Amino acid sequence: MRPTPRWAEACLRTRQVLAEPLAPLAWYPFPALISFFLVLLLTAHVIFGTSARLGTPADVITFPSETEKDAAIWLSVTPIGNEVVVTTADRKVFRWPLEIHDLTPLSPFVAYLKASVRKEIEATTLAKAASKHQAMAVIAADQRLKYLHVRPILYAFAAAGIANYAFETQNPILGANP
Amino acid sequence: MSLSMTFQSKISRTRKRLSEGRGVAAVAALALFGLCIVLTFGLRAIALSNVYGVIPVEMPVVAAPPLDPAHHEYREEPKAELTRHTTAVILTTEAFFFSDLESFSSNFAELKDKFILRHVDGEPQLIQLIDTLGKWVTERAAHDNVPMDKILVFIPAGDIPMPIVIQVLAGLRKSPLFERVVLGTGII
Repeated sequence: MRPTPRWAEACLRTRQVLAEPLAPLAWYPFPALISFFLVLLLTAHVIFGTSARLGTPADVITFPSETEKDAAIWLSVTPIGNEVVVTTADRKVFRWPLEIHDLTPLSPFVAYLKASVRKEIEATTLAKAASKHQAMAVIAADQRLKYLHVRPILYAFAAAGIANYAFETQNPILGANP
Repeated sequence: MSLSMTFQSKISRTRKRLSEGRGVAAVAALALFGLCIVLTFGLRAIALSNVYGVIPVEMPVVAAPPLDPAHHEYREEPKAELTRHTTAVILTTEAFFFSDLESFSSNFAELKDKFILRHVDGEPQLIQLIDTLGKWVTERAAHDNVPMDKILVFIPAGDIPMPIVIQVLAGLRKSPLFERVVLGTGII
């Protein structure tokens, strides 16, 4: 006689459990937990897809400034270890050493900036309308950064033909619009 | 029953109670810990503003307008230009230095045409800088016939933290004398 396979035993046990008139304590939380984790996963995706700022590690300064315009390029810049890590609004990550002496490590970043600018120009041409701040790049610079670490990004902007840029601040709860 | 016996009886009852409900106590502690974490994140979230703003900066570009072969022959002209008289401010870890661009370029070695405003206890004196700059620019326009072009070039040293750079930029932009601030690099 052939032994019953394990999966068949498991199926039999599950059938017996489901046939119970009252749910036994041993199994009832699992369907609830599965649905709970699915909802958690969905919520996390929705939340992180809503705002580019969520999930990026840059801790910007709290300082009153004019509310943000419709900038096309948004970058979160953070020092992690011995590297500067740049996360874009579309979740692309670029990294290079804290101290660099030429733009070679920034080549992929410059290519990304050029592609973004080209995309904006194409969108503007097709829409036949442009806003003043459309070609502006916004840098959400972490408070731990020094100017030395941000300078290569400015050189990258120059290489990509971006002349308008801005630094992002978090407005305080009181007096948010100066 | 003596006092010590009463205590011993209480201790034994407590031991029995705790040994019976060890699982429940662990779950309660875990739940409390989880609640603390959720509350920490929640309180942090409601204490932060969700309103973000920007402090715009500009990068100088060379005017090279392309020819427009269309009917209107539109030609873009620069609205403002950097000249040798454009005001320049340099921020180091010790002081603000200010003068015009000529002083920090062709006349860099000259000591008498630059102004210095030292930090007090390491704190940059931004308000005083804006006041002094205002007086200097106005006086220069009145006596030396130098036009007030409302552009300022700001050059921080590499080791200045970004929060200070951003706050100085915001302060300079708020001054009615300067509409545009150019963030420069390269001197220091």
